[in-house]
Amino acid sequence: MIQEKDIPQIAAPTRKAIAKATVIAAVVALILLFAAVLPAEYGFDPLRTGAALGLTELARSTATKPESAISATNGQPQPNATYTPQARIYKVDSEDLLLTPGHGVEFKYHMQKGAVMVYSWKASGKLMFEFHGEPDQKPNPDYYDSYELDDKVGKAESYGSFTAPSTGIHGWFWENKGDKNVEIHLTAAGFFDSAKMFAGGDPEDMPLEDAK
Amino acid sequence: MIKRTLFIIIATLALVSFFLPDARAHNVSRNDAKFVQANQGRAMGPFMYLGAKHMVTGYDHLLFLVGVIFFLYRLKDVVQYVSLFTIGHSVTLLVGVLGGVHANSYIIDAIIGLSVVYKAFDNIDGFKRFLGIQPNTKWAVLIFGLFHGFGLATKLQEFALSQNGLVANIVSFNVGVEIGQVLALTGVLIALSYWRTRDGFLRHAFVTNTALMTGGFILTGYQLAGYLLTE
Repeated sequence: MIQEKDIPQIAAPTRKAIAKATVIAAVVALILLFAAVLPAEYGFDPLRTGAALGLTELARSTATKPESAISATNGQPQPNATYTPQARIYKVDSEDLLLTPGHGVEFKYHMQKGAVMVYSWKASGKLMFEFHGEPDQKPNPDYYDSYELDDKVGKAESYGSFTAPSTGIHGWFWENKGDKNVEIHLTAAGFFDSAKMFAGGDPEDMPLEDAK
Repeated sequence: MIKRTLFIIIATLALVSFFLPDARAHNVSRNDAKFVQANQGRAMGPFMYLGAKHMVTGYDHLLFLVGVIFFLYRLKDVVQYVSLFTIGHSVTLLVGVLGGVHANSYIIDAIIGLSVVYKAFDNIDGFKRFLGIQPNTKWAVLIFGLFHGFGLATKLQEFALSQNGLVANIVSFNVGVEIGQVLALTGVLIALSYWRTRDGFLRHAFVTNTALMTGGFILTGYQLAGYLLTE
């Protein structure tokens, strides 16, 4: 350690120098925030610098993973097959979930590879979420496939159709980062085997109904 | 003037790019989150590791500590100030999680950003020159420590923690935070001690603290924007 006698005496800065430094710090911070940080982190781009530097891509690329859902040819979803027969009647499901501030919940359906579902979910406020799946046979315990992710700005609704890329559990992780309760209404129909909810403790099996 | 502004921009960019390799570095990462959520009962080792990891990769806590120890030359002082910071954040981490106190994480993180601005402004003698008084530096570290602890608490509260072994796990997380803090501080102190032996230290101290203040402003703006854009 340096001895006390070595502590150098500093000439105190003038008020003018301090004021100038503070203003410069604030201005530089504002420039960097609006030009780079906000476009890259939230896709908020009032100066259009984010688009020019390709930074908004950063916010968008984590917000959606289009390559897994949308074909490169024309941007339209492409079914794997026009017609896929199934041995059993399909299931319908409707869930109302409540998320208190700071909490997350996970809702997943077990589906066979190639099975299809259509879904809609709508929430009373923005939620961070990830639509993802875990194959029954996975290379490591932490493995999962991400289909749609928005952990920056969040969404209050999402609708779509889905073809399971693997046999396993597929569904959503929602997280309430705000300070108010958020209600989610999920409706889905498809060739599900079972449904599971993860909200803290042990996963809970959820009942499913056959289509009438 | 222009040269100095340029230097600040470059220094800040270097600082920010160093501390922002991953936008989510600050959050306990997804796989860790899965572990925390699936965990039932006591798991002291993993929680300790998560606490240490959070501290070492939590650039806001590190920037504040750099500001605090910037002009502390004696080990005794470093230990004293860091202890005050530890007491502050431990109190609110425990009270926050055990008492179920929920704070908005964007607002807390914005205040943590302001703590960096405060300390950097203090380091360039801003308070002494403009208010004519030096606000008590020990109280400041203790009080800002309380806010940093709330920040740690909101990170843990993002998961539905099992009530099983909750106290042991939070205490483990807290111990991990302190281990991470010692590791990070050791690195910072080695770098600072070496830098102090060079002529450039005092000449650049003013500019460095200005860059530190810029970093604090950016953290504050980043979190406030998050609060406004995601509500």
